[in-house]
Amino acid sequence: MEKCDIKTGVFGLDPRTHLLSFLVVGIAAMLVTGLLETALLQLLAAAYLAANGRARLSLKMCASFTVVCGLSFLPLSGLYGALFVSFLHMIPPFTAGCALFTLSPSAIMCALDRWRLPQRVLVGVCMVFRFASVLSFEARSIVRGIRMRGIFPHAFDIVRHPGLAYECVYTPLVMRSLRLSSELAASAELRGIEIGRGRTSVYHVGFTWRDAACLVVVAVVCAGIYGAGAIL
Amino acid sequence: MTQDAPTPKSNRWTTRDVLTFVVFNLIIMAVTIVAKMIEDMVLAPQNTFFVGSWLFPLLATPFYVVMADRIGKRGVLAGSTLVFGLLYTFMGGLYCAPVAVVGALIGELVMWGKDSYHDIKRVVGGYIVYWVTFGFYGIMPYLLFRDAYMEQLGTYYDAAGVAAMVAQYTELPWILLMMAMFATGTIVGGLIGSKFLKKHVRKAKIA
Repeated sequence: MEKCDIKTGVFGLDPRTHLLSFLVVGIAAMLVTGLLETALLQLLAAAYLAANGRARLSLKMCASFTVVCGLSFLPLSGLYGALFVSFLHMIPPFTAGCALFTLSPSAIMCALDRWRLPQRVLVGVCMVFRFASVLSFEARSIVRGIRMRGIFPHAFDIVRHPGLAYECVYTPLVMRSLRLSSELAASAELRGIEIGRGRTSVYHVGFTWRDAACLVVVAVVCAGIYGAGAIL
Repeated sequence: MTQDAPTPKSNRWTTRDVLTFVVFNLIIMAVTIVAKMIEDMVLAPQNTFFVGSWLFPLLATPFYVVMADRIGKRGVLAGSTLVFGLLYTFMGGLYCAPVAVVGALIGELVMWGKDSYHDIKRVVGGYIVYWVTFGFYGIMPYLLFRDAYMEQLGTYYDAAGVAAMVAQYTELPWILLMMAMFATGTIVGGLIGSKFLKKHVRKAKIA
């Protein structure tokens, strides 16, 4: 019987291929030093993301890379180092990683389950994707709450009372996080997250020759960029 | 629904424990990364050493104290150390993986014993190991591939900045100073966290 699962992107790759590509681009990002090589690496990561059905996100990541690159040349103390060394080098692996992060948690769980990862690890991995998107929303809600209560009328007040500012952010964030973890745990248990082995997904999960070919291409291009940087 | 619910003394992690662990570790990582970015923006590379070493643990420890108190089971410290190590590994720092494993093992040995995660002194003591491990993520590149790493730093920083950073991460007095600052930040953060835990979290009866 022919499988009729949902494939994402041009190649319909397995989530584990995205994970390995993320790692390969991450290693390359650490090894390359020059701006040109980093930009080439970003192009590779963007092409990978676009080929996996995230063309718009790929363009956004390239725009972010360009903006950070431009900012890194501002003559401010330490800014150059912070943005260039840390942030700019993180964008290519993050771009490649977006192919994984934007997948359905169901597909990721099903793929990692094939690697016999413990159930608790699978739950944790999926929670990362679920909560990472909520975190910025929660942070904005807390800042909005502080403004509505008029605790810090001026931005300078935060500098004058850093302890109070920390407490005002810390307390609601901790309370919300504790409640959220309880609510999500109850919801996940009701949906059968602890059911054990034999997890399935409507999304395509499984290695094919396309996965191997894609990984080889990513690894070879990364090695080529690194090699070109070493020669130049 | 017939599910063998763990007893209060069971060391088996529940789904709620896993979710609490993930949520709080994400917050700790976000707080650390944002603080690192701001610190790098406003300070010169040779000065970040004197601020980050106590600031990061000071900001993160209160969150860790609540997480450790709520989960209260073996593996919280080892898991947290491994998660941060894994993040660094996936961002290209492969050398961080073995450091994280060693840090996790030592941390869990420090926390060995019954109810250690509900004892604030032991929680803080264990978390110092976490930050010492974090410090070693900075030291390791100088020990393993010093010349290549210095060449990479030289592309972005001036010679004085590189020389200062090399001294700070390779000479023993500087390393000891960094570890002392990590410990101080963690202890003060632990005191603040303990106060907040009693003042807000336990009073609300949700931990």
